Amino acid sequence: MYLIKNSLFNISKKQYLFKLKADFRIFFSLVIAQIFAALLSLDGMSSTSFSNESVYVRITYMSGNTVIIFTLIWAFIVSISLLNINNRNIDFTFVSNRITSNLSNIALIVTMAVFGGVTASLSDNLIRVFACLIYGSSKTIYENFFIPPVYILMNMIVTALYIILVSSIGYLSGALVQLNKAFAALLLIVPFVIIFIQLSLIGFMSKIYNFYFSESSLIMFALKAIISAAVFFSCAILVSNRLEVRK
Amino acid sequence: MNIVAILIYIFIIVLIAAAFISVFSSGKNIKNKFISFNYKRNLVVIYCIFLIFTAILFYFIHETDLISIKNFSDQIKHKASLYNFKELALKDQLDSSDAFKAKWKLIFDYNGNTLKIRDNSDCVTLIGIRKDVDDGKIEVINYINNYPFYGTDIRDKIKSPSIALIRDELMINNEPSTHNNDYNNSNVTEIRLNQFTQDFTIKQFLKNEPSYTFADIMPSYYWNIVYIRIPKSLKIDDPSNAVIDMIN
Repeated sequence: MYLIKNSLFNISKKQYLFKLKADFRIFFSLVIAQIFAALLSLDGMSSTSFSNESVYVRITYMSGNTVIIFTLIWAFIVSISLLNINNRNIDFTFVSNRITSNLSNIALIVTMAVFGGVTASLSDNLIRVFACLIYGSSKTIYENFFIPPVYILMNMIVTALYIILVSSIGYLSGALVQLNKAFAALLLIVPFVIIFIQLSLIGFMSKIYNFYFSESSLIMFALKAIISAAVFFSCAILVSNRLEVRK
Repeated sequence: MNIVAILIYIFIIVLIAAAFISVFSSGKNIKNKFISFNYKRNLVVIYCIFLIFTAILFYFIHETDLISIKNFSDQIKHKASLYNFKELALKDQLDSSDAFKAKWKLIFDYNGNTLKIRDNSDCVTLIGIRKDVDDGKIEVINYINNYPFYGTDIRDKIKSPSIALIRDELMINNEPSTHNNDYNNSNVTEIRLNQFTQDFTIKQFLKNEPSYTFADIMPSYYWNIVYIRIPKSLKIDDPSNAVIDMIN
């Protein structure tokens, strides 16, 4: 018999708000990762050159891809660590069960994705402004320089969706690792195995790549990313239900 | 290396890092003694403010300060074309036009009936014209496009060929280079341009967006022309017009 009847939503919300405050360090690590990636981007992603007897022309291609990739790596690592012992013990601060713990973790991942998506997208402007300041605007090519606001918004949404997708894979990996530490070794071995037998898997990998990266419709991409993430999160919840309550 | 291979290599690094975090960080409460929570929070807030500030500042960059491939191409391409050069040459308006700049002019006295032309240079376009008179003089003029290259004036840096008239043969050679590696030569102008590309998160939805390649950026219409004016009745020993393009 309880004086206050707690709902699943209320407990999840409390856990989420608590984790958001307690795990603020993850946003700090994102900022460090993005600053580092932005500095790398200023040197250019690739370059091409031409020379004759009079002129040596070097064109450096820049973009915010490095920042986005670093953000995705950050999201993957953070998602894996969300289910480690430290973070799971935090859940016992409240009256909770596995479902509320997972829901609050997923809410935290979505918050991370929104923050990561917005900051990664805005860092495009940061790189462009700094490129102009460092190299001079007269050395910067106008074409593709200015980003219409609608593209910035699109970039935020798509990056956030990619973060959710990658985080869901990371979260499932984290759940598997916590279920059995041997999965950590397996996670390490799998990419090597893929490389060694990539001739047979390259078609499969390409199909996965094309499924997400070649989708030209934003709505279809959003559906694919959200449904895939939902499947991975569901699997992670199922796996985490098999974990011990507290070690 | 294809994109799948790159992604695999990235994931290897990530998974190694992630596995270490997952396996070895359990159980112990790790405290960072170097950076306090307040510093971390302040840095995140400052970074967010900085991002917003640069996002606003970004739209204050004036587009005319930047260099445009499209404008550069469209405005100058026709003016600097060989077609335009020939038109101006036929009208004898090359010197009054601002499209081309004469770097030097040589005049050779020549009384033979036939002239052989040997072009050993690799960056010169030869254009010839017959004068209205038989004055016994061969005029050789070096023209280049009279435009700065994306804001950098390279007109004086473009190397001129060396010209020599030996008996009945006009020899055109490259200017001797002092270094094997040309771009280490101080005479070579180095131009660095930065081009931004769309992020992959946008690019996949913009299939029909125009993309600019290196060929668009490098002006193939940058001409180093050796313009040869020959006496009216002088014959050029070049039956297929392979060496020199005679415009009349």
